Amino acid sequence: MQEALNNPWTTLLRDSRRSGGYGQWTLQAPSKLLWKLRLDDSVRSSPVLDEDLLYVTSLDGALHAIEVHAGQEAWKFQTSGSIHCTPSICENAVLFGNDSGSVFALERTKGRKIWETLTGAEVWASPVVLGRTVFVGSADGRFYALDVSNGKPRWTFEAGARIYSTVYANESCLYFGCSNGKVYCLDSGSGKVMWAAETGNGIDSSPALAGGAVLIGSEDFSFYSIHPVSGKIQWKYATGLGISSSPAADGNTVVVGGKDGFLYAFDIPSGRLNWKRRLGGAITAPAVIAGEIVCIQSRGGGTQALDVRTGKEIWRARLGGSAQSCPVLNGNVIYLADAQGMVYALA
Amino acid sequence: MNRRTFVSNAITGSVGLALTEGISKGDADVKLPEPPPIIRHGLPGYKKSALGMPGLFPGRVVEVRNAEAIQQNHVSQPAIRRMINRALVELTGENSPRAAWARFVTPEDVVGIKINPSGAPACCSSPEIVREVIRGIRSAGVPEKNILIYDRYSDEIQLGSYHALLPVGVRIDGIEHRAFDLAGYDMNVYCQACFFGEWETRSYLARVVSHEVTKIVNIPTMKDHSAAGVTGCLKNLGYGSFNNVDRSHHAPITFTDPLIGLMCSVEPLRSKAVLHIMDGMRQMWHGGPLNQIQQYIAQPGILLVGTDPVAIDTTELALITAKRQQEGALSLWDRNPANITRSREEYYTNPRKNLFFRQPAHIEAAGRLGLGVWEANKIDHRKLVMG
Repeated sequence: MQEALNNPWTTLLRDSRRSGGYGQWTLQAPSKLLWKLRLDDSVRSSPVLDEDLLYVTSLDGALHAIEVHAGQEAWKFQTSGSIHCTPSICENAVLFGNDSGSVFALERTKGRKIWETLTGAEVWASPVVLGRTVFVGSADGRFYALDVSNGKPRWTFEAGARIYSTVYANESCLYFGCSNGKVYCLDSGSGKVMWAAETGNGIDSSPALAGGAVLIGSEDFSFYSIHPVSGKIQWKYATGLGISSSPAADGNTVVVGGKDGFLYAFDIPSGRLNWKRRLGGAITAPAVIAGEIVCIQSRGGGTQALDVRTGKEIWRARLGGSAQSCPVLNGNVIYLADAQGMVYALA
Repeated sequence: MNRRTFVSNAITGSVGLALTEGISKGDADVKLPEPPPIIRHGLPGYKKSALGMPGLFPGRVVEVRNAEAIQQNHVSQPAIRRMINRALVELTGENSPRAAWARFVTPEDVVGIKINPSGAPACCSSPEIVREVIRGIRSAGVPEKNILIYDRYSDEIQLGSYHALLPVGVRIDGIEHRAFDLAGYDMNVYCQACFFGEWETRSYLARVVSHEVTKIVNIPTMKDHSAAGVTGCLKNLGYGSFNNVDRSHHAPITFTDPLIGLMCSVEPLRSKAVLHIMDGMRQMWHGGPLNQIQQYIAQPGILLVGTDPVAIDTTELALITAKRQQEGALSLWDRNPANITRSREEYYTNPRKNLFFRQPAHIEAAGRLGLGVWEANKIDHRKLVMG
């Protein structure tokens, strides 16, 4: 009997480090459907997990809390706008944004609203909590630092261009991409711009920080390694089409999908391409690294696991296949959500 | 020979049983089935606009070429700006781009920009062109909040990353978010026909077209199309604004002729579509509309601009026909059953194969409905070279 572990997976790619999985995932393909649940609308975000609840947002404006043992909805919270945002969990709260421009904080176990803060346009980026501050960008062109207890802005930064990139936050710096093609580094406390690195087109991708590099894709058909202090571009790699997928990093390896249908793995210090593998259609969902495997959903390709060292396919499940959602790997249970509104637990 | 008649020595088994009524197997003279009666139901009481198709300049097509506009698959924003400005001045005879835009939109308008994300990410409406169209509409005094970039499928818009590539303030939305999503359609405006015994015989017009926008700027792409022959202004508008259109195809038979033109003639779609800017930065000359293989996507750096969708599509048809001839591909008018395949993979990779008996005559059919000029010798084709 394969069992789930009670490990938290609290934001996009598990945690703010974007490390992805836990390393316990075996090389075996999932062989058993534990449960499936049909939501009322399409899922364009990634699930997150904490204790016994899996949180999934859907385009009809609902956040669903699903009890993971039974696969039943524990509660749902309805908003007035569609939701493309991957939720985040912080202590007793689950946070997310919607297309009406609101950022919500709900009580994590019951779904009661703690606060709601309105921005000027849709919020697709996932809120990230560091200390007592929630950091999130909005399509209104502003980046917000909100008080986690009440949602009131501590400061805002005016980028003047749409922000869909989920921030990478640490004690001193905040890194995110913007539709003006810039990768920003802001001071975490004040929101002051430390540097802004230029790419050649808008950015949809969310950065990872690993191996002494800010790693991010751009719609200019390139993947970038940027020095986290100076903002200098250390290396970039030209792909066949744009990159909207977010990278996953583990040790000195970073993996990212391209719209050209390839999954790429790079050596972070050198920028050397370790391997690339064509998966089928365009890849826009984030990849997840879990121990020896990298797991990804792709358009028309279902869910695949590849050897992180070689890119060789280990297994493939013809479930999922979302263009936006990444799987949650927890012990030997994998949770998937897809564009048709299906949520699966496989073991 | 009737345009639905072709000569054949043998017919492949790929023709479905339901379609054999008008097709005699093995006969020398083979006839495609006639389309069923199609009922059009426009918005009751809608007053037709003089700006509607074929618009202010029937028969006029401005073709702008600029080799610098796309290099190694990267589209140049400054080059696009110069090309659109030059084309609009040429089209309208005005002395500035702003004055040209003012011929089509006013500050009171709510303007829909109909993109074509189908084919994303390899070949879809270039965000650089969409940006310049937004800029032009803004120059005529339309506020950003009154500009809506739309298509039927929100997932394809997302795949094209338009949301991350367009300016703050404009709205970007798909009409359908999942299969069978009817919420965004107007039940009072439709085309009705039973093509292949389907249970839902109506195709409804998007509500944003019937009730929200007052003008539409159309940005189709330059692509061949497995069923329609080519997809251009007409197909991007018709099949991109009405739902439930796949039912008009049942390989190898398609009723894109005459459905595309009929849909475009329904009010208020016809009246609201005031300008067409065809994106020929990339030209998908085989495997359209969804092929992702770069080998079949040329990069000629062309824009076709006008108010007459039929004249533009006629020009597009000639350009794609020429490219296919150059590459040794089948004629878009090919009617040989031996060239039909059931395999999409084979179709995508072999320009000597078809999925359908294509219907490029849908353009002429639209012309006969009064939507524009299809006779090549009557088209005022103005060619500009820049760069």
